[in-house]
Amino acid sequence: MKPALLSPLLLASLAYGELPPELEGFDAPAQELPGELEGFGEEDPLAGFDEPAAMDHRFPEEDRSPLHTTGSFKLSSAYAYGHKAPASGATDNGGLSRLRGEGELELTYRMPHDWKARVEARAFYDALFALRDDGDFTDAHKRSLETEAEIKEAWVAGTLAKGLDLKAGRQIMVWGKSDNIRVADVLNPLDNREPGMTDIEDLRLPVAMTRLDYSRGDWVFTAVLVHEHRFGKLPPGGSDFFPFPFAMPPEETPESSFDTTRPALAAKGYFTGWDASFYLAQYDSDEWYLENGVRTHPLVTMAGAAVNAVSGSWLFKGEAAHLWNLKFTGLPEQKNRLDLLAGAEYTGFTDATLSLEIADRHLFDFDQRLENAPDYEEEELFQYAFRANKTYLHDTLSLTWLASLFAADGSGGGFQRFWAEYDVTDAFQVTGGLVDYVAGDMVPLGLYNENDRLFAEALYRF
Amino acid sequence: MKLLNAFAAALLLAAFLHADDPKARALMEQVDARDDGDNMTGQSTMILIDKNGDRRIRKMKRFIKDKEEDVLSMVFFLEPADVRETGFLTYDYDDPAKDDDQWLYLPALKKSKRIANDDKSGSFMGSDLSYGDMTKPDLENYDYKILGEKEVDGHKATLIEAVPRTEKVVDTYGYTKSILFVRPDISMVVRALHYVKEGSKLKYYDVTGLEKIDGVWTATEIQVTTKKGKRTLHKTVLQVSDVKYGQPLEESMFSVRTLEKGL
Repeated sequence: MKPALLSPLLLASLAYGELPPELEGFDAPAQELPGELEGFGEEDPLAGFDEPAAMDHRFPEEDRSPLHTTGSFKLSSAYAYGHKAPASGATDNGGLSRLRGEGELELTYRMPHDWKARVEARAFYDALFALRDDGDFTDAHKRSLETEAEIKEAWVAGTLAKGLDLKAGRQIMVWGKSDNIRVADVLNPLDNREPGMTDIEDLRLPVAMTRLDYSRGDWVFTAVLVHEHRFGKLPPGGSDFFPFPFAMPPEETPESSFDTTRPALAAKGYFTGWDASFYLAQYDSDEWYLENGVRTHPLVTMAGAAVNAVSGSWLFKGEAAHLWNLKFTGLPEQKNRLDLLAGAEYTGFTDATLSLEIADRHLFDFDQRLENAPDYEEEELFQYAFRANKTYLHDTLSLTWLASLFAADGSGGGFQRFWAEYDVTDAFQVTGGLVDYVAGDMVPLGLYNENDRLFAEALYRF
Repeated sequence: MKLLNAFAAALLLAAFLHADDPKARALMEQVDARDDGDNMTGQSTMILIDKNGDRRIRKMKRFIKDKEEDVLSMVFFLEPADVRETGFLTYDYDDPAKDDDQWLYLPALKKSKRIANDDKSGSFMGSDLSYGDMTKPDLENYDYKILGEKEVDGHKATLIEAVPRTEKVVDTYGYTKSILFVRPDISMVVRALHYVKEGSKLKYYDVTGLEKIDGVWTATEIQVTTKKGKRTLHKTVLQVSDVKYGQPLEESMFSVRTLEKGL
């Protein structure tokens, strides 16, 4: 207690407290109030108080036009600093590894009765391939990462009846409660061309599907038809994320038709202090096997569940997925797998979040032949992901450390990524960081240890 | 013996200073019971001003509904582009034994996420308002004492000191104590000085715009300034417009599903 407070507080207590009634009526004189109150003003509290800022950014209700356009321009670069000098004639993957200009445009059209439609397109050009000697890059590498233009999301959504919503088109649907490791989140493939280097908003690839959501009480029931067969983007042959002396085999993609439309169901409940979700899906797995030299994707069935619960500053997460009918190159028979995840997130430090997730993937009836190329499977595969984030300067500066390791003792390899994001203005953000790949015995992730990158981005949003 | 007497006197003084004043509590109960409207919709603009005077502007739409003694609220961010479509859903329970439920929808991840909200001292979207400032304080967490009276904007205001009863409350909300300026005529806190635990900062909360809308006294502009001594570190101006009460908001609207659908 500051000495300056004692006098007025004591007087106030005397005035309003249990002390002799004759002392009642003492008003604490304004000039004897705690000095900090003068922050509200000098003699007249309002006169000296920080004057209301002369501004009015209020906006009227009807200033939203039906068509809303947003987008961004981004310049990003990366520098691979971990590569040793290549042998004579070999590709030099060191040095500048990205100098990319990228644009995104999103159009949202609002229709009557709260229906809306959205189209989002993205394109990039990487000048790296023009700046460096063509001989450094394979055709596959250039095709994959020099230029790209694609429709990301494209959907229409609205309410059909009370509690019943429809969303149809290319979209992202995230399942599960985990943030860093995927267990039940199986419907959208990933852009894994440069693992550890892809921004999280670009990581999941939208897929054409139709979903119906029905809300009743604390539950939301979802029925999905996945129409599009889209698989993850993998590192192209010749890049340092494809450390093999051969080209990636061709891929078989099923035709999109009524027969190849895949169903999925979900039920999500939201309760006081905890949430629970249940999932059932049949889908073309992103995990491929070779059949007659062609990458083929097995039709897998997944039943999963996820739960999270809050206790104080802790958020606990649990997730499970049982997969049936996984197929591998080295074995004729199908296998089943159980993926389990446990995690916790702590937000007890101001403006900071710490999270740890641990997953175990157990392959049933394991056969040692699965350890060989190109399956490289393990009976028990652990994965750890740790993320620490803290924001500073009223959310203008964000520092994040993400580490991910494979195998129970971490010997499988992995990566850690540290980055800082700074909002120069509302519209302009700069990011810088590094990715450190950890060597290990998992293929191919454990072979990335020379791929360490420094990266920087400048992003303008409109 | 002198030392013992001094110790006893100090204990007595401490107990005396921290005693709850029934008159102050009665006034705070009036504040708590004030009709603050129901089924409210409104637009808010949050202007964040740093110590160099640089401004960042965030626009959002708010929906609030009372569910008996509990309060359901939903906020959708409309601008700027980096937070557009971010949604925030809160079930603010009146029962102090029950933690609030909160979910955040993050459009970049296309995912809603439950938030563990025991620490309410963190900044709400980069502003000088904390998550705790966005919820109704639980009166049982504090000892109240009347310090005196002052005039605010031509109206008499009673100054009430609010001292957290436990260290846990201090840690949760981040304030070691607060001095509240309560206008008894409308049972409303029109100013507050919060003593911030971290960094020994002071936070000045000032209702700079007040209107009676649909019979409900509504703060249409709030200025929150964080200072260290007399030096301003950061300021937030929250301007509210298009406030309507008694709107046809159904309880089912305050759901994670609505958060994910967006506006």
